[in-house]
Amino acid sequence: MDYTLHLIVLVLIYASLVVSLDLLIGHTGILSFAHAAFYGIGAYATASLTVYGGWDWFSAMVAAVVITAAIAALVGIPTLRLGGDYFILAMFGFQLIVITLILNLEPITNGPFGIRNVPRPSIGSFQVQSGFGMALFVAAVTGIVFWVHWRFARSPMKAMLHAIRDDETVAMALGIDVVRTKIVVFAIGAGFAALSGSLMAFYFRYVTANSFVLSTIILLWAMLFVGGSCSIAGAIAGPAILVLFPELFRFVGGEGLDIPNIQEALYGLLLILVMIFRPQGLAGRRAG
Amino acid sequence: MLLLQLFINGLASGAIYALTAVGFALIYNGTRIFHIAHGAVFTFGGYALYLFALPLGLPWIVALPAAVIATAAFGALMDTLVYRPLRKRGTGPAGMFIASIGALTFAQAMYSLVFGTDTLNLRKGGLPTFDVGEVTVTAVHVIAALVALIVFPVLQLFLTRTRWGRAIRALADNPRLAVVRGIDAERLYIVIFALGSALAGLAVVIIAFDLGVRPDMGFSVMFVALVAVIVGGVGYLPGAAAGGFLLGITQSLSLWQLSGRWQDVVVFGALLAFLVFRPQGIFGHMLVTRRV
Repeated sequence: MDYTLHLIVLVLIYASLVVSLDLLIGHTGILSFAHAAFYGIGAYATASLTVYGGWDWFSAMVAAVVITAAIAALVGIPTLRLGGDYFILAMFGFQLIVITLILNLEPITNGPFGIRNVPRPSIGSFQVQSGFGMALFVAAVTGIVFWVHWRFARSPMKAMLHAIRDDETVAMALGIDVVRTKIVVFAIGAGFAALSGSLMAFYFRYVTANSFVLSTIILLWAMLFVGGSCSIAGAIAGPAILVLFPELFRFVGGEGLDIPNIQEALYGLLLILVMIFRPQGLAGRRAG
Repeated sequence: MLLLQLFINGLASGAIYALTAVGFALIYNGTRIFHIAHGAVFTFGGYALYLFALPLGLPWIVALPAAVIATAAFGALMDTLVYRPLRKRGTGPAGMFIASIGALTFAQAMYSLVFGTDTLNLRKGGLPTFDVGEVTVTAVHVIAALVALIVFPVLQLFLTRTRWGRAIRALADNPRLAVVRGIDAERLYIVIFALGSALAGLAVVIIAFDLGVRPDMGFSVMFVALVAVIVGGVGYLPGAAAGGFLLGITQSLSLWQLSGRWQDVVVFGALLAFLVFRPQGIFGHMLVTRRV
């Protein structure tokens, strides 16, 4: 039961991340290869502020979101003007730089050892302690993220972002300030990624650089495209499939198998197969 | 003298980056695919060399060229299995890129599953070295420099003087017009992939002979090579080569002041600086800016 609960929480945290990634990739066409970095900055800011700074959980979470959004805006201002492939590469570079900084800025991040004993959130005098309470907390925050996304998907802003995604020149001709809009969306998406990072820090009570490396991004991209972009159902289906699928190996006798590498191979194969046979993803409407 | 030694080392690793970068740029210009799985093709060459040289026991003179040919074949196979079905569907650049990430992840995980994650060493004992003044030059330094000196002019001649080379450039310039003119694009894509992958194969056999083979060896080389392409100027092959040498030397010289763990930051700091201040690259003015 506890383990099932753990899997559900994992799916929820990833789903909240995939939603923000979908805002960038699916709706606006910003191919962010640095989403794991923003996720990581959020998690580390939360952990560092609560453990070393003695902040309470809510202020730390808000600060993490604001800090990450500000960093994203600063990074986005020069790079979002660039063409697609250049931007991917710039984001990849940013990702590597963030990991190197996390591993080397010991006073803030405790280097390769990570930060332990992140406090659990509390509401009034009630401290969330049990696994079930944490699951409810994560579900509530993820629910809010989904609600915001759902509101967005019904607003006129969506049409504006889709115009930018589909043809920047036409969008400009329609009077949309493409670069400024992209910077704002990028900062918002990064802020949401930081929120997922906070959830992750509160849930595991431990942050380490290994959670935010390149294989995390590939996992997130696989979740987004397997589930299907521009789709709320897809943002749950993708993480659910990719989190639960490897669990099957526990039943076929996982002894002696190199599970992490088998998983990676499956993620890679899934990405190729989805692109060839169902580019819109399982629940999505739009081809990649 | 330390600086001169670092410079020589940087020149050798620069040659590796340059070969990989020119291979990537050739494929990118010719097919418009952001072929990030080039890194996995690179690593394949290392394992091919390992298989030919150790379990099969072929002499080096046979194993080295055989590994290069195997790498070229693997690159062409990847085009046939992954990119060709996507082209038939009319998939855009973003979809191609996602499939390419998939291919990279898949291949890298398979190498780990089949060969393990440890480094496999290909040679026993040290390399032959030559002392020139106070600087030590290894055989690998010399070979890397020689290969780069021979391959790049030959490639340039091939692309400008032969029928196939011209067809490749025509396809890169305007695919639709090239097809109208009677060029068999699908066949040419295979040639482009084989040629670009062969360049990666040349790079990997040199580095695999020197440092051994690991499942993730192609990954970091690939990304430095990508940066080299941008630093040199996208669309201009000699620029990619120059970018590779420049990054190899910069990375090596940075060891003078910084510890090795900052090397990624040096490379990608250079990338970000270029992207902000000179996105067309060093030689970018030589071609018309193209929408990607």
